[in-house]
Order: sequence, then structure tokens, then C-alpha cells
Amino acid sequence: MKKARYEPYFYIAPAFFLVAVLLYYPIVMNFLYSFHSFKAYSSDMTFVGLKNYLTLLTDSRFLTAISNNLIFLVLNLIFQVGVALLLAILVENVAQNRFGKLCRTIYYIPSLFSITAIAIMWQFIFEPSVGLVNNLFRAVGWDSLVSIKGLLGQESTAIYTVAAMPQWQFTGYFMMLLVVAIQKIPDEYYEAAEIDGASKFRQALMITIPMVKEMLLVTVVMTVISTFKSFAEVYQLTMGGPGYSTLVVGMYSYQSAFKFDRMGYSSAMGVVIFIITFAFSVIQLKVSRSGEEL
Amino acid sequence: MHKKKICWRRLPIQLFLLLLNVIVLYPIFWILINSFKSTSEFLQNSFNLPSVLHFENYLKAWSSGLNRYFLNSVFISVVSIFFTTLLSSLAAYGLTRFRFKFRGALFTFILCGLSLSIESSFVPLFKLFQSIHLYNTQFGVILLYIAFRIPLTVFLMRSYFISFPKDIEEAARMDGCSSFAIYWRMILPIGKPILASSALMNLIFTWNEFLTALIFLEDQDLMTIPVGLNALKGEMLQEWNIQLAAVVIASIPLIIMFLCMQKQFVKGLTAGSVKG
Repeated sequence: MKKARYEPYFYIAPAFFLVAVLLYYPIVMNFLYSFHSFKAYSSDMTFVGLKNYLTLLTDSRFLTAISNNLIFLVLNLIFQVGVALLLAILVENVAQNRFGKLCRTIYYIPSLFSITAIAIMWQFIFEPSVGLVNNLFRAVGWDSLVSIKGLLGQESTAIYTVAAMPQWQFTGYFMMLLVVAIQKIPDEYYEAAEIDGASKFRQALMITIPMVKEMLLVTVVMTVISTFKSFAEVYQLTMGGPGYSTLVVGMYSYQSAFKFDRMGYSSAMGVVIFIITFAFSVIQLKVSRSGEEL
Repeated sequence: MHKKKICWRRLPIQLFLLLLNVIVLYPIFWILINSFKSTSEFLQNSFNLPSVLHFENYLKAWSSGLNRYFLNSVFISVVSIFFTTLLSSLAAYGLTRFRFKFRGALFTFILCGLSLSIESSFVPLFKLFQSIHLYNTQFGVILLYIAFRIPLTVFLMRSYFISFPKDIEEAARMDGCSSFAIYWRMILPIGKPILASSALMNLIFTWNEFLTALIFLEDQDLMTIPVGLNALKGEMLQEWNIQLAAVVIASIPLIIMFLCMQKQFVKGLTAGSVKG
């Protein structure tokens, strides 16, 4: 390797500059902004100290948003980690044939659609009069389940209907990550277990899961991070409604900035999202740098 | 005998996997058939196959704005992927093939950018772009896409470049090659696989990205597919068939690419382990 004084800096400078100006600078400014009150199209700024943060603690919209993020989190962990792991084991170790391969490909496909496209599909599926779900209920005679406003339109079910969308879309994506991790396990382990007469279930428990635990941790962390960054699905399906029953923090932060014109308040929520996602990203970087994965 | 017994025991699992295939594929199929129906036809029955294929739904979706959004998406994706790849490979080259004082610190600085997201910094970026007149320009969005993809791309390329043996460049240097010539004629050609899989990952990202485009592109003429499709939805509230046709057009490029080059997708996916 060459010892050099200035040369490498020229190679790194453009990337460094963009990252510094467009990633780091805004994060620092966002922190400072969160102590101020100001509007989108005016340069006046008033220092308000911790007021934005104190308001957050008593704002029922924000509290709803946080609890909705937690609902998302629980469902995302169940499906995108739990079910994804189950499916990965089933398609790799139990159905080791062309059918397993086909399933793998098909389950992965939804993650390639944009959220906008899936959201239009989702709205159409849950549309009260022509939608798939209500039509299905009518067809099998479960008329009591047919909801006049649609599952997305009534407060009691809207949040779960929104939260179901990322499960349909991304469970297969996380399954694929785990499939690749499973494929790296040497075959001899399973052959030895087979000779000992271990059942597929025991093999999954004693070999597969311990061997993929690093990737499993990565998927947990990725899920947590993406949960607290949730925005597009809510924006496109319900805009946070009906009422504010499906608000999530990302959505409320966006609304505060561009609908209610409370930029400082929005920044404070940005800081909340930053702290949560940053903490988990650090874990992710630690895990993936220590492991053989990368 | 033995084999047959196992097959029977696995039947419930096979059925379960099959059911999941239906859950994934049926909605997509349902979208597809309804995108070809006339409005009155799908209002009557959305389960039947279309009696006549109404291709004009697709023409209408395309000409009512999607053509514009499609071109914008292609333009923004191509430009931002090109520069992300160029700048990241330069940085990864600098970080792996030289020894210098701040190497570790610079790498950590760029890598930690991975944990910073647009969701927690859009207010200052909005203010910044307003003041330097990048708000509501495609150039501004391209800059953001490049900057936000650099950390991951540098990370991937670095771990690939670092494994190249040193002696090849030593020989080249003896022959009087400049360090840039080594980057251009040796590192880039050998690094092609990682350039390709990171470009593919960045394509999936830029093609589907929503929040940045929503905030920073106000004019409909400038919008990318995800934001444009959302705008289209507002304009054609009752025309589900047109909306669905638009969904199909918007989704086709990535699906076809995936079906043609599955291996590369999976490679990029695991190398990155970081979703959008």
C-alpha cells in the first residue's frame, strides 16, 4: 500500500463533502431548530427552549402516533422477523426442491413494488363497495363482517389495516435475507444431525437458528429502524385518518411542518426519530462489522 | 416407501406454502385483470376475467401524466446512480489503497452517515434548499439521493476493494502509472461485480423513494413515479381501472429486471442488508 500525504484526500473529498453538507449538517441544524419556533416561508425564528419537547409530552396526537408506531413495531417483528424466519426454514430446509425455490422467488416479489403502487392496490382491496375483502365476505355470506366504511375507513380497524400492508410487502424480503444466511450453513451439520436421527424441527432449533442468529439480529434492528421511519404507507392510505387514529411519528412530523406550519415542532419529532434510529443503527453497524457477514 | 412417507408428512407444509403463494399472487392477478376492464364492468364484478381487454386504460394512464413521471424517474435514477457509483468508488479507492493519517476517522465518518435519514432532517434540508434555490428542482433531489446512498455504497465497495492483492498495483506503479490510472484501468474493471450489485440496489431505492421526492418536488412536471402516481390517484378518484393500469406500468421495470437477474438481486440484497 502506498504511503501518501495528499493523494487519498482528493479521492475521498467529493463523497466526504456531500455527506458532510447533506447528511451531517442538517442533523445538527435539526437539533438546534427543535429549540425554536418558526415558519416554512419566513426567516424569523424565536428561541423557545424546551417548549416543543414539553408540548410533545402532552399532545394527544403525538401520543397516538407513538403508540401506533409501537403497534407497527409489534406486527413488524412478528411477521418480518418471526414469520420470515419460519418461511426461510420451510423453503430452504423442509421443501428442498423446486417448489421451495419457486416460493422463495414469489414471496420476494412484493418488495419490488413501490409503496405507492401497493397502497393503490391496498385501497382498492379494502374499498367498501367494490373491494376484494368486502366482496369476499359477501360471497361467503359473512355479511356481519362487511364494513360500510371499509376497514381503512373506520377508526377501530384502520391502524391494523394500514399496518398489514408492510407485512404483505416485506415479509418475503426478510425471508430472503435469512434464506441466504441459511445457505451458508455447511451441509455436513445437517447430514450429521440426520444420522443421529434428529427431526427437522430439532434441526431447525439446534442448527439453523443458532447459525443465523447474527442475521436475525440484523433483521430485528432493520425492522425497528424502518418502523420508526414509517411514513409513506400512512400518507398514502389514510393521511393519518380517520380523525388522527392512524397517525405515526413520521407522518405527524411531516404534517406539522407542511400542513400546520410548525417547523420547530416538526424538528423536535425529527430528533425523536433520530435518537431511536441512531441508537439501533449503531447496534447494526457493530453486529455487521464483527460478524463474517460483511 | 420411505420417500413416500416423508412426502405425506410434508403435505401440510406444502399446502401452507401454496396458500401463501395465493395470498401474494392473487391480489397482483386481481389488479391485472381489473386494469383491463371498463369501469362499469368491474363495478359489476371484480372477480371475473375481463370480457374485452381494454388496452385504452393503459394508454389513458400513460398519457395523463405517467409518461412524464416515468421519464423523470429514469432521468433522476440514471444520473444519481452514475454519480453515487463514481464518487463512492473514488472514495473507497482512497480509503483502501493508501495509508494516511485520517483513514480510519474518515471511513467512520462516512459509514456513520448510514444512520442518518431524511425523516429526521427534512426541515433543515427544506430551509437550506430554499435558500440556495434547489427546492423544487430535480437537481436538488438528485444531490440528496447521491448523498444518502454514498455511505452504504462506500461501505460495500470498500469491503470488496480491500481484498484485492497489492502486488498488481505495485507493478503498475513501477511502470509509471499515476494513481488515477490505476483506479481507472485496474480497480474499476476488477470491481465490476460490486459496482453492478450496488448500482442495482441504488436503482431499487431511487425508483421507489417517496418522502424526499414528495417534499422537494412541488411541480407536477418534475415528479417521479411514486409521487406522480400518488398525484394521479387524486385526479382520478373514481377511475380505479386507470389507476390500476398506472400501477402496472409503474411496477413493470423492476419486476422484469428481477425475473431476468435474480442472482444479482439476492447478492446485492445480502451485501447491503439495509432496506431503502
